[in-house]
Amino acid sequence: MMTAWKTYTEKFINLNFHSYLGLLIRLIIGVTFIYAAWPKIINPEDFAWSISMYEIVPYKYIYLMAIVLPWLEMICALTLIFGFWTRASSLIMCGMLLMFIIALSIVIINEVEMSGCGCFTQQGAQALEEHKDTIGYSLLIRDILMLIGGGYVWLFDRGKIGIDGLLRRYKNA
Amino acid sequence: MKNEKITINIMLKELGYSVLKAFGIFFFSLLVAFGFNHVYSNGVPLIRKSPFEVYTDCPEVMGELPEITLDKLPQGSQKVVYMDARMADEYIKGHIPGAFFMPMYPVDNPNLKPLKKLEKGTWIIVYGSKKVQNAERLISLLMNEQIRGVHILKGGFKAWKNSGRKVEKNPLKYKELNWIKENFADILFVDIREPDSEKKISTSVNFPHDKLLAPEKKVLSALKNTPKKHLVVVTEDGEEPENLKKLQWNAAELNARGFDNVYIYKGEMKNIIEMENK
Repeated sequence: MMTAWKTYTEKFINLNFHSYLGLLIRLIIGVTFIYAAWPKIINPEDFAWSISMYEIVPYKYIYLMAIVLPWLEMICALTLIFGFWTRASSLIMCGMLLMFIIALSIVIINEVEMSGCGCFTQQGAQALEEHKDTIGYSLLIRDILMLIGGGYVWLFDRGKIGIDGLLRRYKNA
Repeated sequence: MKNEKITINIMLKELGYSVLKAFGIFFFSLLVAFGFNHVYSNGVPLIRKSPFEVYTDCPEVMGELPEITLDKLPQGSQKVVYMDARMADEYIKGHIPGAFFMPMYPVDNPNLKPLKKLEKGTWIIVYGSKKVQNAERLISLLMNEQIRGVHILKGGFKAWKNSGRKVEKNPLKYKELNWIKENFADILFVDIREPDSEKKISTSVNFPHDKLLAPEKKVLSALKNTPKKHLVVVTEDGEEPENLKKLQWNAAELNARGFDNVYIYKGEMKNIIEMENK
């Protein structure tokens, strides 16, 4: 019974299909992260201000996060696209996505309290409401989908179509 | 593409290695990030010294502010300075004895120069009225100005008052026309109308009513240096409710700034002008 399970699992993980689907997912996540990271890299002050809006990170460490996070996104995105240390970069991607999902969830939950402070009247409340519908939930869903994709790459894509595959072939030759 | 057989053991081993490699990527990213930030012209310092402020119609303060509760206030020989961030009308109704009057106007910032002369190690306790977040704005301003040792009093002045502690008041004082007549030579009139208003009292200083900005320094110094004994705040018709509010606001502003010889004349200004002409 156990041997049969092992055989089927090994058959599944050896499917060529994983490399192609993995490549597609890597490209989607990689391009999204490069697109997201570049403005943050060139404008760390603005990104720091955005982080402060979440009210999760103590203000002292906001700059540290604004310096490190965009580069981590950029480097992971590049390694993911080129298939170098594919599993490691997808693991970091998953960690970051999990962090974003938690942060977004906190913001969405806190919105009730924020709009109730009396300061976000008219334009403020309207902006929050728009934020909730157009950015909040759609971003959350996008991040969850990317997390599932990242998890798939971590488990099943060995970077066969990429530098990892080339290095392995060179090593085995 | 040549296929190589992957067993579950190999897969688990690779997943394990991926955790180690992830640390490698992380540390490499740290190096690149700090290196880039160091050479980049728009780079930021590693540690932020004060919270972000978001200035809108109603200013919001983001981040953590150092709070202090009443029971943790420094006692005994420790030097403490209290700073009242509320507007003058609230300040004169009651404030912590000896508190600095540091109102956070909706637009203007207070003068922080006196604070820079404080001895090192002095505790600065900021308090205000919670609903307009003036204390939070003041403490953010102090922190941005590199003033250290600042704390915000949790619960503000209300908590202080409710605990039964001593409160100082500067009540507003009113004077009638007869008193003005008797002391006319010793009075400097404070005209709160707009500077271009017609028919002025000859011995008057213009101090226009403004709820958004701090009073002009030159007006305050003129009032401070006057040889006259009394300051009487006047307007066109002080009996009109709207005008009376403005008179009280301006008198409170002066009172809170240490002028203890400020009086309000609730009557019409033309009575004083007539008296002067006679």
